[in-house]
Amino acid sequence: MKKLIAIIACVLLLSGCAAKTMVSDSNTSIISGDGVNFTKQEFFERLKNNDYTQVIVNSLYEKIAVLEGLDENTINEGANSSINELKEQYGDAFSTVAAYYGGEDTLFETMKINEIIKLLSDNYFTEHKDELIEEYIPVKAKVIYFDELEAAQAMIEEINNGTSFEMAAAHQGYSATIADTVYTDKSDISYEVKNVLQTATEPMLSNVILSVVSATDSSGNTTSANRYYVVEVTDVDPENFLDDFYAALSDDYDSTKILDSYLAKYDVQVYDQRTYDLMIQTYEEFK
Amino acid sequence: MDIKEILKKFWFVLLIAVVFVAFIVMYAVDYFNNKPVEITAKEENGQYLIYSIGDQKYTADDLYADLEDAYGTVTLYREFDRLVCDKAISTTSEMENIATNQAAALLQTYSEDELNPQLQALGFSGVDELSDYYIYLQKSLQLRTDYLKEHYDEYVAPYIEENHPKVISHILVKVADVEKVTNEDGTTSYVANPTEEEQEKLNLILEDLKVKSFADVAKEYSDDTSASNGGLLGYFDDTNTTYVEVFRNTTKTLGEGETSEVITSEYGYHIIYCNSENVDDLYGYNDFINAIYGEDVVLYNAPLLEKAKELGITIDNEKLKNSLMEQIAKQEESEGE
Repeated sequence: MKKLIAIIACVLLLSGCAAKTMVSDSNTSIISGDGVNFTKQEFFERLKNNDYTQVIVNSLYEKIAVLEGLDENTINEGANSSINELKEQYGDAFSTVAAYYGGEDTLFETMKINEIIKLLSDNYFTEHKDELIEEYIPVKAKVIYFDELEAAQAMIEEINNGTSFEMAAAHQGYSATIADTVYTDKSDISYEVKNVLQTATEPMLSNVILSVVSATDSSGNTTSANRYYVVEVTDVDPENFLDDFYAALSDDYDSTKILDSYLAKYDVQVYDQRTYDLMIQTYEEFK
Repeated sequence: MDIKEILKKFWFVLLIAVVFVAFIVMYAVDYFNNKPVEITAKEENGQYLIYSIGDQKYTADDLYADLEDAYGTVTLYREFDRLVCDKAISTTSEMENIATNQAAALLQTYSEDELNPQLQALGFSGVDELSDYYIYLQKSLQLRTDYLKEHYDEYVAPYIEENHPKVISHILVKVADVEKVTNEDGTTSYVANPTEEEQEKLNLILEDLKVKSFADVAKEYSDDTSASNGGLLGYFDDTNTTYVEVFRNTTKTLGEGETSEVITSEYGYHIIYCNSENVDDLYGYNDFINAIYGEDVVLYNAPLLEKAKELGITIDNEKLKNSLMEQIAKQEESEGE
């Protein structure tokens, strides 16, 4: 009986040890004196009490960048370019922005991760091109609207008589820049316009599209207004504007899904309970 | 007895048994479906791994380095403060009682799931150490209070001289109809139009104040939530911005033991009493201690560093120690700007 208890105790002890991730030189003292000996291992455990999901995610991006063979120079150049953009944007206040990130070195590391995410996202989009096209149904189009039906009708008539979309819009008093933009099934645009965009099979000019929008003023009164859209679909073949499509996707695509796909691709294996518990809440492939 | 007879005789027992077994099976299925995943640690070439992906490894040392960069200074500070406070100040049964009550009150408002991450981020294991956390807060406050007592002339006396701290109580008689009046000099005052009942209540209070203690009268008549506590509002000084203007201005003029005239605010009638200006009473108020430390990071940390030196408690990791000291200096610099 005594032997049995000893064996059970050993098994329990070993299983307890196996569940704990140890840091090197774990007994090194961090704080000591007056009977206190706070070791590196205890400090490690305290540090792990923080929610360090982002630390792990960043480390994963760095590892995946290596596995995907991303060029380090490209990553550094991209990071430097982002920093230069910030310098131009903030001028003398740049040092405050850098300090917010924890200094220029940390800012550079953050920008490097952003660059890796961008490159990995592009790779992911390329690998999943067909299914993304099927899901998002991207088209390129110019979309503007008027508050008056007559203006929209006159613009369409002018385009049909050979005037360009931009010029015809300007003739109706439309002064904003008109961009040839990628619209997808998930774009935040009125249902009626989206319907026209998604059913176009070739470049085309729409008829006037009526869309009613509701707005609530500061007094809580709801008002509705008519918007008269004019749409010119310029390209329905996503192969012609893949870069623009990927750029549009990277703004609102779920980055969790992308990281999860790389975790599955390279068969991530987890050996630390706390890290697993933190990560599995967001990344279902981290197991 | 054949099966039929057994079924006939013990059908109820068998039914209970079937239900019982069904419950056990359901529980077992549920348990195994929701069983937390247990991760086994792995050691490779003398290094514990956190994860591997492809041929890339992320070790415990990598994680330690990254976490030290991200949270090292703040985590070390908390731990150092906690260890020094623990060594410097003994836990009393009064501290334990206060902490137990505070913990119980907090657990009535928040769930364990809500509190655990916050306590863990503060260096405690979770709600099982909630009382320890409250004991630590008391010790930390006491450490800083003791320091101020020892440096009275340097920090406490100048603060009292400048901001006239005091402990106050008040009685409120709510008046439903109060008129806002803009005076010729642009200031605002209030004129109450009390009902008979409201006026009668005020008269009774004024009569009773002649023969009873302020606390007893407040307890009996005040319409404020402080009534149950004898009208005690607690700490007040000239930097206060919490109370309405007329209340603040009147309170500032009161000395220890003085009771104000009846004043009118948008809430009705107030009578204010100054319980104490005695520094020993003031030390009992967190607001007083916090007001003196204000945002002076160096002053706030002085008791900690002094006590650590006295006890011989040191931070042995030079990198972390320098980073912590730099951080304290940086904060002081930024607050000085």
